Amino acid sequence: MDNKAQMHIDYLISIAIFLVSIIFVFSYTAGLFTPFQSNSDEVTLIADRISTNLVEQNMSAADPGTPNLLNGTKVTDFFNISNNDYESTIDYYGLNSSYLRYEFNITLQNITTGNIDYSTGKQLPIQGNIGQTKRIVIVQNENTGYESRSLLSVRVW
Amino acid sequence: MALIIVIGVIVFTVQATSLTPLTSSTANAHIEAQLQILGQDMLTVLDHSKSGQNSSLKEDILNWDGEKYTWNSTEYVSQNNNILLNSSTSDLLKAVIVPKGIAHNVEFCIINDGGTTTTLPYIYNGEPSDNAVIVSRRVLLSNSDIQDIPLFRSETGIYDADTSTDFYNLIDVKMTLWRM
Repeated sequence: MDNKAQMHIDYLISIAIFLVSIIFVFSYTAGLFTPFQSNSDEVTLIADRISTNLVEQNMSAADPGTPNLLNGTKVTDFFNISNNDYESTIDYYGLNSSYLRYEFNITLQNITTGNIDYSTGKQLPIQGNIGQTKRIVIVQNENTGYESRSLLSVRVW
Repeated sequence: MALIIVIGVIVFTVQATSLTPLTSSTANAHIEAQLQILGQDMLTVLDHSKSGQNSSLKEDILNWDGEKYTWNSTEYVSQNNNILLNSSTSDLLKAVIVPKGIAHNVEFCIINDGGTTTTLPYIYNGEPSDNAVIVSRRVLLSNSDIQDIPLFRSETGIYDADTSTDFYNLIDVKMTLWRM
């Protein structure tokens, strides 16, 4: 009796161990394959940071009630500076270091007319991961006071 | 004993499978964050008041006829076949959200005296999914804002919360966004 396996109990225990190990592998395999999947986590975060920086600091009209109200003059200035000297703008936003380098492309599209009023940066790559953040903003013309609704798209790769 | 082991394994299986990276809490975090930024931006833009004027959002509430509008792929149409016109909210949604294929509801909520909430649908496109994002913005209505108070009350169901003062009601504009 003692040198024969107890069929039911031993079988159940072994099956239970088998299932537990299968589940363990399954719940970790997804993590195993993650590095091979398309992954745009870091570029998305950088795009988020740059868009917040642009909207709420650099171009902001500093209206406490409407954080996404932009000063038209500052908007023109930013796009002019970036178009004239792309490298220093990259440096200013911390996209360039000795090991990693990111590129950006920023556009401002008028929602009412659909025209792209401003654009700057490099052409988008054909392949690779691109992080994108879109912000809806109001651009206030400082001379006329006229306000237009626009879509600011920040893409980083 | 055998039964306990089997049940234990089943319980463990059910609990473990909910932890895959495809669960909404991990993989869709970026999408949810994007929708939240988009929605909050839209409400802020709509509620921006230019030099003491009413904001577009407030005007849209004041111009509302109380009907529930649904997107029919070209216009927002109500059950009585009225088309939603002169609404900045619908214009912005049409320009920004619709081309991206993001489903959306816009509702006006009032908190009643007893603490209960009355929800009035303005734009309604169906039940949101589990991963929907809700953003909201409060809009204050005063008696002096409304031209015809009895008409506004009967059409929209938004009542005067305090008849003795100029305070009319506080509307919680609730926008629900989700990926289809």
